Amino acid sequence: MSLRIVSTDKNRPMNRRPWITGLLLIGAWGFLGAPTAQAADDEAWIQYRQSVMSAIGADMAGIGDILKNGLPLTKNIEFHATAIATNARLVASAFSQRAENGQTDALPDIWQKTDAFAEATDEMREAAEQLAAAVAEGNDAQIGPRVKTLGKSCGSCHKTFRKPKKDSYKNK
Amino acid sequence: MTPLGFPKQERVAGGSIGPSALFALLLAWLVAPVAGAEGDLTAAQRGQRVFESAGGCSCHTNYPEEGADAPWLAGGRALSTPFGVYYSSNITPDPTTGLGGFTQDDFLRAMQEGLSPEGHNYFPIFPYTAFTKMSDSDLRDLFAFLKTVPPIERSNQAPEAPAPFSWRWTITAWKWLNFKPGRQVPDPTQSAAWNRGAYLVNGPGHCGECHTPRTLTGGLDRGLWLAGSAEGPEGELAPNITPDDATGIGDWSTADLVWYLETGFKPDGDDTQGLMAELIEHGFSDMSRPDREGIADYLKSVPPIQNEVHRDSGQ
Repeated sequence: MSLRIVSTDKNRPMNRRPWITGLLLIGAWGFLGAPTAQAADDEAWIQYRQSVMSAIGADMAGIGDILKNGLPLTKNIEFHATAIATNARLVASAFSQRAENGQTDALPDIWQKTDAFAEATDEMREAAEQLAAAVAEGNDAQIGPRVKTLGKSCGSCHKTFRKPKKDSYKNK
Repeated sequence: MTPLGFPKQERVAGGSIGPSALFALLLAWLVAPVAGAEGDLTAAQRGQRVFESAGGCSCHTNYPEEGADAPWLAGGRALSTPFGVYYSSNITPDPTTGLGGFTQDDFLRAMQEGLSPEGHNYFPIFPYTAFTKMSDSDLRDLFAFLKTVPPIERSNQAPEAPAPFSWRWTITAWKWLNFKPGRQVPDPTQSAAWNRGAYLVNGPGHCGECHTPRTLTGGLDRGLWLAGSAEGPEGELAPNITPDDATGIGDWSTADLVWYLETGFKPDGDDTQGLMAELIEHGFSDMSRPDREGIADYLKSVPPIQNEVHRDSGQ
C-alpha cells in the first residue's frame, strides 16, 4: 500500500492534497503559532525589563529605609547607589526589543524617542554615581540633595516613558 | 523624644551626639527650612511656608502643557472633572488679570467663603471647602507672599462645561448642599503635633479634595473621607490614604509618610507621578519636618476605610 502512495509514475496527475494541507498548516502556524510565540517572546522581554526596574526600585527603597529611619548604615548607601548605576546601564538593552504584548506600562515613546530615553537613563546613572561618590568621599551633607536629584531623574523618565497610574495595567 | 524616637538634641545641626554623623547632617538638611524663630520672619516669609503647605499652589501653574518654564502661578491649567473642564486662575499680583486688585479682605473672603470681590461664586474646583478651615493669620501671610511673586498678565479662562455647570449662580445651591464655612477647630484631647497635622491636611494641604470621592452633586462624600477617588483632578486616580491595611496606607510607618512627603518615594522605592508629584516638588518637600510628622500622625489616626480604588471602581 505504501509503495503505491509514493509511486513515481510521471503520467499520473499530480496529487495536490498534500500541498494544500501543507499550506493550510503553514497558514495555521502563521495565524496561531507565530503570534503565540511572539506574545511569549514579549512576555519574556517584559518580565526581564521589569526585573531590572524592580531592582532599581528595591535599591531606592533601601536608601530610603536607611535615611528615613536613621539606620547607621551610611556606607550601604554607596552600594545601593552603585547598584542603581549598574542597573541603569542595563536599561537600554532591556528595552531594546519593542515588546508591548503583555502586562506593561511602557509607553511607545521608548522606541520612538530612543535618544531621549537613552538620555534619561544616563541622567539616572549619573545621579546614582554622584550619590555613591558623596558617600565614598564622606560628603554626608550632599547625600540628601543627591538623593533628591536621583529621585527627580526617576520621576522625569517615568513621566515621559511610563503610563500614568490611571492607565496602568495594575489598576485594571 | 521625637516621634521618630531620637532625642531632640540630636536634631541640632552640628550636634556631636547621634547614631551617626550622617543622621545628624541629614536632620540638619531636613530641619533647615525651619531654622530661625517664627517671630523673626516677615509676613511674606511666613506666607511662603503656608504656600508650601498648600503644595505650592501647583494647580495654578500650567506645568502639564507648558512644562517647567510655564508662567509661575499665572493659571490657565485645565482641570478636567466629570462636570467639565475648568481652568485655574492667575494668582500673581498682576493688577488686571491676577490678584493685584485684591485687598487682604477680598483674599480672605475668596479663600474662606468662595466669593469674588464682586460677590460672585467661585466654582468649587477652587477648593475653598478646605481653605475655609485656614486661619486668618495664615491667609494674611499667604496673601503677603503672593504679593511678592512676579506679576504676569494672563487672562483667566471661562470653563468648558455644559449648563448648568458653567453657571456661577447655581453654585449657591451647591454651597448650600456641600459647603460648610468655618475654621479648623483644634481637638484638645490630641497632641499639638496631631492638631497641626489635622490643620494641614484639612486646611492648606486640601488632601480631601482629591483623596475623597465625590457625590452626584460634586460634593465630598464624607462617609469615604480620604478613602481615595477614581476621579481626581485631571482624571487621575487618588489613592486611599486612610490607614486601612488592605487598600490604604495601613502598612506605611510614620517614617514612610514623612519620607514620602519629603522625597516622593514610596516604601517600595517607586516614585510618585502626576499632580501629587508636583505638590511634593513645589511645596510639601519644603515643609518643615515637624509639619510632615504632624501630617503623618494625623493620617495614621483617621478611621481606616476599606476602599479599593481603580480606574473602573467609580470611586
